[in-house]
Amino acid sequence: MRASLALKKTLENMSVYIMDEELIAGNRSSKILGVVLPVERGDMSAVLKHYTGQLRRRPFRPFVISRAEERELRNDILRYWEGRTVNDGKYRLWKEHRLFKHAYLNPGALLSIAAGGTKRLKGYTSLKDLSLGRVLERSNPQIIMNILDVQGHLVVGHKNLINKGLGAVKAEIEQAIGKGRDKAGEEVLRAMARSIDATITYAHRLARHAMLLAGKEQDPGRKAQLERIGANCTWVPEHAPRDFYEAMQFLWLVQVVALISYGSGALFAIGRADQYLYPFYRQSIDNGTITPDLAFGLIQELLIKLSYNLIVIPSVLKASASELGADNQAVTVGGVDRSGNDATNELSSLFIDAIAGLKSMTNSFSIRIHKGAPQDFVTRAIGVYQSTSGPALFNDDAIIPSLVNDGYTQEDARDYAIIGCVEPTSDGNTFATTSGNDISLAGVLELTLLNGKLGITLNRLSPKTGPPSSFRSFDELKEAFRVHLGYNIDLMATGIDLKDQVYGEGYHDPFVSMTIDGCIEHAMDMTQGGARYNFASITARGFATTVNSLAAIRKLVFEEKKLTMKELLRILKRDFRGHDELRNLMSNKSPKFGRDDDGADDIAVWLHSTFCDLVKSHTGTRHDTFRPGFFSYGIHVFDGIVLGATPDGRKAGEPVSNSLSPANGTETKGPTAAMKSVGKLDNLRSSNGSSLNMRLTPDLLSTREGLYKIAMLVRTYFSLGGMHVQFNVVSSDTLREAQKHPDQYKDLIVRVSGYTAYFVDLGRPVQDDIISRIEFGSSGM
Amino acid sequence: MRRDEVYRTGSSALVFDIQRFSLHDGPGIRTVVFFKGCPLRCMWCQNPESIHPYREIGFYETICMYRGRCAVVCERRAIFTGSPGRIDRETCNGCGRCVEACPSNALKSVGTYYDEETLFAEVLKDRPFFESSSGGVTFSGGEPTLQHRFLKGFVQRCRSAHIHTVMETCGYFNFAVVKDALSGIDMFLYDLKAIDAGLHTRYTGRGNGVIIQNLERLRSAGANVVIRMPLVPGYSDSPENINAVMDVLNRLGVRTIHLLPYHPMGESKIKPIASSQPYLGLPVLSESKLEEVAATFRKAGIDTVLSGWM
Repeated sequence: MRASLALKKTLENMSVYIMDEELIAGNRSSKILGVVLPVERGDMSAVLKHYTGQLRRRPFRPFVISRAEERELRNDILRYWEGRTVNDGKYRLWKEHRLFKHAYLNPGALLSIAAGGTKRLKGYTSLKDLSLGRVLERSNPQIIMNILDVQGHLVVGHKNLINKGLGAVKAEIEQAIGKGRDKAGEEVLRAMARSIDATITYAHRLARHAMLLAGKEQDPGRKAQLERIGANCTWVPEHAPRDFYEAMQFLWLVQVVALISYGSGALFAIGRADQYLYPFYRQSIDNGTITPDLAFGLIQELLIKLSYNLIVIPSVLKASASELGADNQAVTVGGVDRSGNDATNELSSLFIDAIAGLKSMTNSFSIRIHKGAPQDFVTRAIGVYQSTSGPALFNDDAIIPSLVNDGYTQEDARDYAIIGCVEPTSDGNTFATTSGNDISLAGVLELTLLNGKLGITLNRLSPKTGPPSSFRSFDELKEAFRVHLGYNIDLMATGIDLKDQVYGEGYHDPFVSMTIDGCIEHAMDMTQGGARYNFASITARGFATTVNSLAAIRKLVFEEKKLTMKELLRILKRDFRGHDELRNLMSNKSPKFGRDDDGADDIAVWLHSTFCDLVKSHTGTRHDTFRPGFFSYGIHVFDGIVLGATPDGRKAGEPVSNSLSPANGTETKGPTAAMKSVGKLDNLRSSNGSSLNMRLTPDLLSTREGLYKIAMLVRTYFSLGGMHVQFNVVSSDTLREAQKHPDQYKDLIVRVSGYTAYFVDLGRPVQDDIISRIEFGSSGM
Repeated sequence: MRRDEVYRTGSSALVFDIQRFSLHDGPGIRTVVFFKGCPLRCMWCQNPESIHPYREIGFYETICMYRGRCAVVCERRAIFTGSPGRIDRETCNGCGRCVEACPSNALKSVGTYYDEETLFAEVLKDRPFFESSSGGVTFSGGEPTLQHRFLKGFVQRCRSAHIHTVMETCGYFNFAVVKDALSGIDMFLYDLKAIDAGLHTRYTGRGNGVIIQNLERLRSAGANVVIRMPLVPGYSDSPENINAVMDVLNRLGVRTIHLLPYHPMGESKIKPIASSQPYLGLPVLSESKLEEVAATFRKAGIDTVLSGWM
C-alpha cells in the first residue's frame, strides 16, 4: 500500500516536461538522463552514501547533482532508510539463518582487493573504497558470489494492457476485490487500482502541459504536434489506443511509470513490440492515418527513449562495468507466433532498420530467429552489424523447448521475449528475477584447490574436501569440485530465497504487478508469487577459464605427470613467478574450450550439466524453480581481480572468461570451432540464458555474399543447439586507436556480454579485455 | 629432392595448415587444407613455408625463453641454442620432438602427416556449416597435385560424402599422371601469373607452356575452372602482361577473371623457416591500381571478381 501511495505522490508532484521535437511524452525524472534512485533497496544506498560529496567530483564520469539535492539525499532520504532497506532485512535474515558465520574478508584481504584494484585501475580507487568493500562483503555471503538487492528483470506486461486500456484493467481489479478477498489480498488489489489512478493522473498532467505549450507555440507545425500529444495523453493509457501513434504513447507511458515505480536497476524489458504493436500499425498504415515516415520516426524515438538508462555503481566496479546502458530495456522482434508459424512482419523489419539507423545507442535489442525464418529477415538482422554492434540473435528452436522444460505451455513458450542481456521468459506472465544472482566458477575451483579457502581469505568458506595433493585421480578432483559447487549453490539458493521473502513481505510493486498476468487473479503482488509463472535464477560466470583449468590439470598432472598437484599449487600461489615454462605448458600445450577439441569439451559438458543439475534441484518460496544460466555482464573482470592464478595459465588479476565464450586468446580455430564446442553442451537446460560473444571484422560484412555467409554461420550454429550469439564488429586496431584518441571514437559501441556500451566509457581493463578477445578475420585472405 | 617415403607413396598427406571458416577460397563456408610442396618458386610467394615437400620446424625467436629443452630432446643434434636461427636445416628432419618440448610455442611444426582417416575427420568437423552455406573443402598449397596419390582416394571419399571440393592449383603438373586425382574435383581455381614464357621462368623458376596446356586440357575435359591472376606490383601488373592474359582468356572463351591483389603478409613467414625466398619489400597493391586493372578487363568484356567469394 505504501508503495502505491509513494507512486501516487511522485506522479502527482514530479516535474513534467516535453522537449522540443519530442512526439511521445513522458519523463522518468527531471533530467533527460537521470536515475530514479531505489533507496529502499539498500545496495544502491551504500554506493550513494559512499559517494555523497563525491558524486560530482569522482575521477571517472562524475554525476550532475546540486549541493542542495545531495544534502537532501544524505541527510533526509538515506538517513530515513537506514535499517529499513531490503539490504538490511536480507542481512538480518541471513544472520538468523547463519549464512554468515563470520566476516570472511579480513582487512588484509580487503586491502589486497583494493590493491589489486589500485594496480589495475589506477585513479579509480580511493581509501574509501575499502569501507565499500565491507558493504560488498555484507551484501554477499561469499566473495565468489553476489546476491544483489534487486529483483526486477522482467517483461512488463504491455501486451496485456495495450488492447484494454488501464481503465478496463482497473474495472477488472475492482471486480476481483468484490469477490471477497482476505484483507491482505484486498490491500494488494487496492494498491494496484491506486497505481492505475496515479498513472492516469500523470498522463493528464502531461496532456495539460502539452496543451499549455501548444498555446504558447508560434510555429504552426509544432503547435499541431503538441496538440496531438495533448490529445494522446488525454486518451491513453486510460483507454485502449485507437491508432499506432496512440499505441506508442501508451507503451511509453506505462514503461515510464513502471520505471518510476521500481527505480533504477529494474531491467524492465518491453517484450515483443513488433507483435503487440502490429495490429495498430497495420490499421494505421492501411487507412492512411499515419504515414510510414511518422511510424518510423516514432519507433526511432521510442528506441532513443529506451536507450537513456543507467545505474550508479562504485568506481572500483565502474572500471569493470558500464553505468550507461546498464539498466537496459530489452526489445524483442521476430520469431514464431503462439501457433509456431513465422511471425516476422513489416514492423519487425522497421525496428531492425531503426536500430541500424540509430547506431549510437545503449539499447538491448534482441532478434529471434527460427528454422523457418525468411532468409531476407536473417540477412537484414546480420546487416545491422554493418553499422553497429547492436543486436543479439536468439534461437527459437533451442529456447522454446527449454522453456517448455521449465513448465511453460507450448504456446506461452513460443511467446517468449528477452530480458536484460540474454534471459528468455514468456511475455507478460512471468516473474523470474533473471539476474543479480551469480556465482564464479573459477572461484569454486580455487575453493577446491585450497581445500575450502580462497587465497585472499583466511577463514574456511566451504567444506573440507581434503588437500588436492591427496587426490589419486582426476575424478576425485571433479568430485571435490562438485562438492564445493553444490555447497555454494545451496548457500546461494537459501540466500536468494531469504532475499525474495524480504521483498514479498514489504517491497511490493503494485503497478508492475498489475501488468503481469496472474497477479490480479491471485490477488498477490509479483514479489509474493502472483504471476502465472515464477522462477528464480542462479547464473555462472568464468565457464571457459574453469574448463581450461580442469583440462590442464587432467593433462599435465594426471595424464602426462609433468608436475605434481603439490607443485601446481605452489606455482599458482607464486602467480607463476619463476615458472614461465610451466605456465606456458598450461596456456599453450593444454586443451582449450572453444576449439572443437574433446580434450576440453568433455569437461565443458560435465561442468555445464553439473551446474544445471545443482541449480535446478532448488525451489523457492514463490513456488519457483531455480533456472541456471551462463552470462557475465562485465562482472567477469572484477572476478579476475579477486581470484588468484588459475591452472589454465591465467595470471592473478587477469579477467576470467565471459559467459560461454572461449577464454581470451584461445579462439585459435575460428568461429565454427567455438560454435561447435558450445553446441556440444546440453544448451536446453540452461534456460535462464547463455551467451556466446564473438568478434567479426567489418570486412566480413562489406558484401552481400559476406552477409549471406555470416547469416549461414549463425543459422548453422543454431541448428547445433546454440541459444544466443552476438558479434562485436570491430578491428583491434580501431580499438587501440580509440584508447589513444577517445575523443574521436565517442560513437564506437561494443557489446560486453549482452549489454551495449560505448567503448570509450568503459574502464581500461574492460577495454583491454575486449581487445584481447581473438579477432576472427577471414583466414583465407 | 628430399622426400619422405609416405610423401612419395601418398599413404599420408603432408599438410602445413588447416583453416576452418575460410570465406574467400570458393563458395560458402569452407575448410582449406594446405598441402605442402610446390614445383614453382614464385618470388612473391605468400606461403613460403609451403614450398618444401618435407616437414620443417619454424622458429620464432622473439618468444623463445632460452630454456634449451629443444636441444636436449633433438635426436639428430640439429639444434644449437647459441646460434642465430637455432636449427641446422641440413640435419633437421622435422620430427617435431623439439616442438613438443618447447614450453613457449617458439617452435612450430610446419608440415604434419595426416592419414586419410584423420584428415577426413578434420574436414568433417565443419560439415554442418558446409551444408547450410553450400561450402565445402578446398585443397590448396603449395601445389596439391604434387600429392595426387593421396588425393585420388581422398577426393573420392569427399565425393561419396557429398562434400563440395575445390582445388587451388598453379597448373604445373603432368596431366596424364594426376588426372585421376582431378576427376572428382568440383571446381578449380587456376592461377595465371605471367604469359610471357621468359618472364614466367624468371618469376617462378619454371616455364608456363605446361600450365597453359593443362588449362586447355582441364577445360576441354569439362571441368569447372575459375581463372585467377595474382597482381604483384611491378611484376605481374604490367599492361603488357594484362593484355597477354586477356588474349589467352579470349582465345579460350573465358569471360570472368578473379584478381588477387598482392599483400606482403607472407614475408613475415620467411625468417622462421630460414627460407631462401627474397624479401621484395613491396607495398600492398593499391586500391586504385586494382580498380584500373579491373576496368581494363571489363572494357574487354571480361567480368572481374575482386575479393574471392565475398
